[in-house]
Amino acid sequence: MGDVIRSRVDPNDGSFAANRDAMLAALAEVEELQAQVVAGGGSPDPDKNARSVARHRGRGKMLPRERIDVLLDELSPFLELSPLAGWGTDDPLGGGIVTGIGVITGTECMIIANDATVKGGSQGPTSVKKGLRAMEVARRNRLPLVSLTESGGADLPKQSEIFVPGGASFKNLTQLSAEGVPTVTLVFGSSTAGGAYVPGMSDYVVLQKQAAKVYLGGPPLVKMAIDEDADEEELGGAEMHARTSGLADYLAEDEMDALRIGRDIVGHLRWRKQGNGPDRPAQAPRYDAEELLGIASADIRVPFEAREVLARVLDGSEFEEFKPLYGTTLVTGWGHIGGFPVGVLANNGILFSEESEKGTQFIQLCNRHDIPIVFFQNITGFMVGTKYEQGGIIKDGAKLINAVSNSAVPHLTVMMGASYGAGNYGMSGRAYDPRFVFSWPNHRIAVMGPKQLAGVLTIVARQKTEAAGTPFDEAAFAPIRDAFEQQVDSESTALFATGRLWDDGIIDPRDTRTALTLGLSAVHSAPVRGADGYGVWRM
Amino acid sequence: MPEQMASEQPPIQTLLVANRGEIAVRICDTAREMGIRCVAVFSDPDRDARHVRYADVAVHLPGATAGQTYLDMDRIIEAARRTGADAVHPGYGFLSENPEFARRVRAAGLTWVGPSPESIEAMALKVEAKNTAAAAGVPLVPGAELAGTDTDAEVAEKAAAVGYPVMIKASAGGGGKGMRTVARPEELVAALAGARREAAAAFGDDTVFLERYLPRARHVEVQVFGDGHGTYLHLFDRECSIQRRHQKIIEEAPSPGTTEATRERMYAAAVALAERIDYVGAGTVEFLVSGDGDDQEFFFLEMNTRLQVEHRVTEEITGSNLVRWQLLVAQGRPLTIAQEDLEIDGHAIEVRLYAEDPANAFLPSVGTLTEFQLPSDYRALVDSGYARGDTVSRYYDPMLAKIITHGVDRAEATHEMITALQDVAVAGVATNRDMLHAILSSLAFDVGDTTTAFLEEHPAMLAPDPGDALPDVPALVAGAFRHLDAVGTPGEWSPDVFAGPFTVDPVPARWRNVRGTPGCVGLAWGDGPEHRVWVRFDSVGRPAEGRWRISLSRGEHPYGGEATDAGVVRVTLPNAADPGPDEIFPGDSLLVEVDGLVHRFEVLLDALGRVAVSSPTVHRVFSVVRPGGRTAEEAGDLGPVAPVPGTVAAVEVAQGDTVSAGQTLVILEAMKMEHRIVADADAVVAEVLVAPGQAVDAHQVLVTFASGDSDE
Repeated sequence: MGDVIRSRVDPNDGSFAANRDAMLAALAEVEELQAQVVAGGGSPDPDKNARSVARHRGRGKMLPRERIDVLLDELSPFLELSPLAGWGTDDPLGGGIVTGIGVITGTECMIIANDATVKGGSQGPTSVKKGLRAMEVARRNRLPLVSLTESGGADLPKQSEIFVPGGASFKNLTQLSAEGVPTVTLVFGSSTAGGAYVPGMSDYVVLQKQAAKVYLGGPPLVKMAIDEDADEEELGGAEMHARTSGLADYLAEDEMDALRIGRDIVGHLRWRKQGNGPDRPAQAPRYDAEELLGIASADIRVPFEAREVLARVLDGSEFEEFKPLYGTTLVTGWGHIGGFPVGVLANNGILFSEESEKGTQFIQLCNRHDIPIVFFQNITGFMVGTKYEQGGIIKDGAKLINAVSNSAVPHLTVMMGASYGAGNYGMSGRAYDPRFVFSWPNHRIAVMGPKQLAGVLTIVARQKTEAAGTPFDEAAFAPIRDAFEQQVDSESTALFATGRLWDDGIIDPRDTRTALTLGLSAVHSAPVRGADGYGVWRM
Repeated sequence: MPEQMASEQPPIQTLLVANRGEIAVRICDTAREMGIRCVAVFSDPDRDARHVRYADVAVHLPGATAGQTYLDMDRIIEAARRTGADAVHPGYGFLSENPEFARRVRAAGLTWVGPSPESIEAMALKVEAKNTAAAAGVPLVPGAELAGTDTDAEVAEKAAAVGYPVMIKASAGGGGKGMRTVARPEELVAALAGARREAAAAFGDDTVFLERYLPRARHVEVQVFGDGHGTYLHLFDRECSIQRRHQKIIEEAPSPGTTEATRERMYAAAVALAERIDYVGAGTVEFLVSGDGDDQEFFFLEMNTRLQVEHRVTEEITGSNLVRWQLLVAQGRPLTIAQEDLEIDGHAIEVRLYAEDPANAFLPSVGTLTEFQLPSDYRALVDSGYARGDTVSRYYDPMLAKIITHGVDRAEATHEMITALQDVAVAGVATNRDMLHAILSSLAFDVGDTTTAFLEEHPAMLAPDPGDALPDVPALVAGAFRHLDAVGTPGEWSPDVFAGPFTVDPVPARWRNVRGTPGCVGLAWGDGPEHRVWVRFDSVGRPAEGRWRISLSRGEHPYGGEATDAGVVRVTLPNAADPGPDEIFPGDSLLVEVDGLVHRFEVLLDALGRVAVSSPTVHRVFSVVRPGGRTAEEAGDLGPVAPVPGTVAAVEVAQGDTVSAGQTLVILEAMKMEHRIVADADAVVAEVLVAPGQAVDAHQVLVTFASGDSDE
């Protein structure tokens, strides 16, 4: 199907090696941060982290990723989402929870696991955002949700940031249930106050003996409120809930037993995916994914050939290109990933009117044929200038955004470079509800490039000063301009973006095909159906 | 000389070996040395067996059970006719002590390699054998005959006269079948029924008799040989006291616990008995030896009118070849050796390597030998009917091999055996290898305190404890490493859950987008605690080097600490260019370095997914533990299951019965042994899922119980 893309990459080229070195350096930084998250503890002080992990293990407890590993089928992959959420904030890196998609007794599930070594598993703003995102992924893709709960509740000093939005998690649980998506909660420790509603709102609840504590108010609060001296086990222990309150559906002897029961529960769900499977045998790309490291430009301003990326992601490197001679800075066409049919939109430069209309038409075709769309973003924005404004670039850009917004097939977005301006919107950026957004470490995202933004700021300042009748002191403004440029630059990095959950995680470019395959498998858990209608097309 | 020539039968040209396994191979070996062509017979399950590959011609006996094949006289004689065989060697077991077969072989004009049918008959029925022995002046164990018409009260009276503990034995039997020990009168009736049933199944005759059970006796036997020309020899004694379920597992020659005086008297008694029945060929007179020093007594047990499994130890200490002697005598040739020419040279020990689980009531273990390594021939003499890739079927005796060592004295032979056992690596079935190793290494064996109660007195040897709280860290790591399949190609995983003809392109197994995510392999040895080996995976789901942590089942994490050098484990493959390791340890060798010590292991996966780890000092077969159970233990709490594949012999409960813990539910016959399936708790039988005669698979649920806790 389609033609095999002919790669013109020369690995001996100097820029290839430079790109590769830069990408590997960026990946090393990401991996270093991931290692911190995996190690647990959540504080910047490694010694303190080691102590809290040792304390946790000393109680015979497993770390969240260890619990997940035991819960999953032995050979199952685990697509962890937003591992570096909270980067650049004063929340702990990773937010003290682990979310991701893995396979339990043959069923792809969303798993949300608290990390009790991070602030006792208490929930800060990042935890809430990350948890809500995971629930959204579960709901939209119809993935059964398994929660591994051990949380001290709200991160009280930050209660104002989480109390109101955090409430949605309980609503989400019951809405998932209402939509027929099963929810299973295994409680390994505290799940108190608001947290008690996680088991409370779930379809299935497993409590671990002598470990789970589930109550609305703990002994101190009970003492304060009604002057009762309550025993913790009597108040919210696993045995009490299994025998007396009925909150627990299953009583687990220990962590392994709880995980075993969780597997049994998922096993009896007889969960069926509602989407279609692959429509042809999958085929590995003909080119080595390793070369992606040297293909993506280290300097975000240097364009690179999007087809070279597609040649290393699409099945058999085969691509049936649509309108190859028209609107050439947007590459559109059909291919397969992991056997699943996909439509592809990939940036090969700035967007003009032709590209916008080409993309609009292509998105409509994908919706007509119920084919998921993968967006490869490397976009500095829509073209500006008198000629283009007069040519109706706003109207054409609006068409693309209209199509993207109302498209009903799943979108998966790969941030492989720049994502500036309305280009982010037209290419299904985070606000346009793609099912998954994965970023490469070289990714930059902002309303526009830092240099341009600083330049614009300078021009605006000059106009303001000169309008007031005073001459503009270029030299005096330079430090302000540089500081602003630096600020924008630091706020547009992949880490900054992932820290704020603008994506679902930074991935190694070499993992792109695997992440997309798993993502496509997940999106096909729900029916894949195109849009019935769009907004009014502006002509 | 002319007289001898006259009595000589025509020389054997082609020998049919009416047997299977190691003994068929061993007989074939000697026959071939003597220029005799060899014919094997084989059943359906044995089509690819080693004895078939070994013979010059092999004849298929369609069917699987012994009755359809190795016990079918017509078909075996027909096989001899088809292949032009002029002689039949019965080996041991099967038809070897069947006088009718001997007669029919001779009637077909074939040479019978064994004693006369009359000699066999004289010793075949135990009660008559005892009378004969008594007439020859051989001392007997107190005993009593039982008639099928005896009432329970009459049996109890006879048992009381013999004196408890009493043993019930099958009159027509041997090899432990139809045999029961009864300590107290109240156990007598049930034991009698079981023994009769087993005897009927094994020998087609349910006649049994009683005998005094001598609990701390030794089993000592004398090898005799008659040539039909008036020469009767003994080839000294063998001790075979160490037994399980009344079947020998370790044999040695000479006996370490028999006095010179007893020995001489036993030799004389054995030869006298052979003479009395005009015995021709190889035979064994078995005795129980009781007491020490001057008080030592011996009692006649039985005479086996055939070659014994353990004949090799006698050959080792006398330099003889008993099969050669058998074949010569069968051709009418006299023995050319006199008693005074025979001398004991050193000491020999034989162990029987069985496919069975000593920790689990010696349940036979069936499966494919995904790995099968036996000691090299410079280290030990090995007789085996199996090779790697062969299947151990449920139809026949589960003996995998005999390993025989010879030393200048007992200590040297023992040491040689311990070393030889360390070279044994078997995957695919459970074996008694570790138990044999533990026995040979024990003080009790070393000092010769070997009685028939050896295993009851040393139950720990059934499942030798690996020792430390955290045993064999390198072995665990090696096992985990192999299990993770990192040695070979990386595994793959495909979300194969979509309807439709195509599958999703597999992604690397255990793929993690977050580097260094932990993965765990739970390994358990036998019924021991689970050990979890934590590994940090790299991006393609392979273990990252140097990042291992091992924890016990209950949360302890004593080994490791990823931040320090201690606990850093490196796993490397031996350099492929270096042929050394492969020559010594063919297969999957790998090196595990723990804290600077490098260990070499051979690590193999068997068909059940278990991991066998072998080194010269460690051999472990680990089950892989996932939540929800260990590999090959999937049946869970459904109800009592068949421990092995077999045939239902009896169902002792019916739907609606209330049973108590320990009560027998079903009797299963498998590999010629009876297995009693008992209730593990008080319960009500909801459904009986099997019927007598039905073949069942391992782990098949036999009976279900009504849920006990409910009041409904």
